[in-house]
Amino acid sequence: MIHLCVQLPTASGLLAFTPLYDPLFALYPRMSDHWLWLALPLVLAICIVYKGTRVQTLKALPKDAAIMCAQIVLVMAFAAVALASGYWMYLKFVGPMVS
Amino acid sequence: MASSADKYTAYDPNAPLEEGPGPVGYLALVLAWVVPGLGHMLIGQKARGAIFFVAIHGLFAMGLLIGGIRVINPPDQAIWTYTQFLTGWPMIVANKVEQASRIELGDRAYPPDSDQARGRLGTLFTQQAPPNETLEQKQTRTVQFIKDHPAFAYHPKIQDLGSVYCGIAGMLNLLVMFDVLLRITGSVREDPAEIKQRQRAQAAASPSPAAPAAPEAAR
Repeated sequence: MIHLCVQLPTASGLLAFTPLYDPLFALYPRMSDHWLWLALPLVLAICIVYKGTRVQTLKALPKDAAIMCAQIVLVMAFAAVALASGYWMYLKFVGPMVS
Repeated sequence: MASSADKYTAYDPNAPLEEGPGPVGYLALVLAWVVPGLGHMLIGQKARGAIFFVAIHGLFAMGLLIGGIRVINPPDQAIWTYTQFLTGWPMIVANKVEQASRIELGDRAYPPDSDQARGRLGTLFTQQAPPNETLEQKQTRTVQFIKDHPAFAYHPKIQDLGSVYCGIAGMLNLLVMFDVLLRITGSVREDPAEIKQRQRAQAAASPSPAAPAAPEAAR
């Protein structure tokens, strides 16, 4: 379950926090609920750099990177659904038979 | 702007291969590792280099922001350390900071009961424990301690993500270095669609008399 609300940091927490040194989850303890969204900037950066090395002219970069980004996200989503379905079926049908 | 930046201003991709990349080329290759994106800038691809500079530095900084300094040299994931070093100067600096932070944070590479393993924060946390502390008291004290010392917090999942960010930044810089290598040696890639189009045009221009490839050319 992904919680869309974020626990706001306290004033003392903000003062004690040193960016790039302290972990961000010290400020946002519920950050682990949102960890999956952190994959999106990673995918975007990968697409931009990879396509940056491939395209002949940089005019084509935004479009090519966006297409590749969408492809990766879609394939990952498809894989997640397939794996979750397989796991659900295992729990529903195979698990009871084994136990 | 983009089109002019794409031209090879410092390098001629059609130069004979025997001449080699030259000192500027080799310097660009080294600088591509030290400062991500700088290699492309040196060979005249300023816009491309700026994109790599922002993307790779941004990715590395975001990894540090997410997981803190502990994402550098994760004790159980040495392979990420090697990839992180491909990022160049950001990792060199972060590695020094991380080594200094071990005194404060502790390092699991040391024996568990040693002072080094506990670090200053760990020792402080242990020293603050009242005698006969119950589990509930320890939990409350831990929450307060983390509020006072955010670096003491530890969350494997998010820390792993931070390590991955920094590691991927390094691997992307390796890709960028290979791209610099290809460009300085004149091994410019060709678009496969353009190659096919040229082959079709050649086949259409010179059809062989007994050509079984005639339908191909006609098509």
